[in-house]
Amino acid sequence: MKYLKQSLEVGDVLKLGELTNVKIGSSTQGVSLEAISQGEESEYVVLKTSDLQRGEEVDVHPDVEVLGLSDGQGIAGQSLWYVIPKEVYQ
Amino acid sequence: MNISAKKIEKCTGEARDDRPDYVNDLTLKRKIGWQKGSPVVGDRVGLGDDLSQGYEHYRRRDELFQPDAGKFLSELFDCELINSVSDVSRELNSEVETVKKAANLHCIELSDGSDDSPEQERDNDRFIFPSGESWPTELLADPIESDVRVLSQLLATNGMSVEEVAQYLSDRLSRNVTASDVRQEAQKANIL
Repeated sequence: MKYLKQSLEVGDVLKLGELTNVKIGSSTQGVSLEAISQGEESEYVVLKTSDLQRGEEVDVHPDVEVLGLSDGQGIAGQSLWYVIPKEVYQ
Repeated sequence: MNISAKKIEKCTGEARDDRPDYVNDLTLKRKIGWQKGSPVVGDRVGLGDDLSQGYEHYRRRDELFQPDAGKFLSELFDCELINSVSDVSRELNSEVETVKKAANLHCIELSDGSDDSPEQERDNDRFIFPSGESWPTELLADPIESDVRVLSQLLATNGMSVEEVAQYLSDRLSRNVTASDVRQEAQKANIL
């Protein structure tokens, strides 16, 4: 079991196991991930879809795992953060 | 050049219905830069068309990391006009580091050459009319948009609107020529 606390940037590659207790934090420094990772780790790519509007359909790859939402800046809507296995790109 | 007094008399500064087909088929040149001329990848943008629509298929910034953006990015890197990551960065109006990171993720090999494409080749020696005819610029007024023959040809003979002439001249001369500049010069020359 591993406690994770790190910043999130789109395109970053993270080694993650099965995640529980996932929290997404937003501050002026950026967006951060806090979670518990358990089991065998694999590489995942961090992605996000920004400026979500209420009721908006988000079209994502079937293999994504959702991390959570972060507040948008100013009047922008929230952003959905998710990860996708790196092997999808190969 | 083919200038007719009758067509100048009838010229209103609006696009004429009976103009030659080659005028309707005019497109903007492909140029590196976000919404600067026709896109490097995809169909050329027609003169007078909405430039932003020509770039609708582009993937930029965070979208470059989506799994399905790899094909687009590869295609862009393979274009003849593109010589460096910096060229791609300018074309997508995205940070160089973002482009590098996305290319790496999509397993796109980056060339060693770091030279940017030379500023778009400017053929300053000749001005090419929509018909394909070209004239030495030294025989035309400076700036070209003040040349009465050029304005007569584009507005009257070719039946282009003031806005289309401004866009055509901006594209071909690689500098900003406004509709107001064209209108003013055409009024001075009694074409409008």
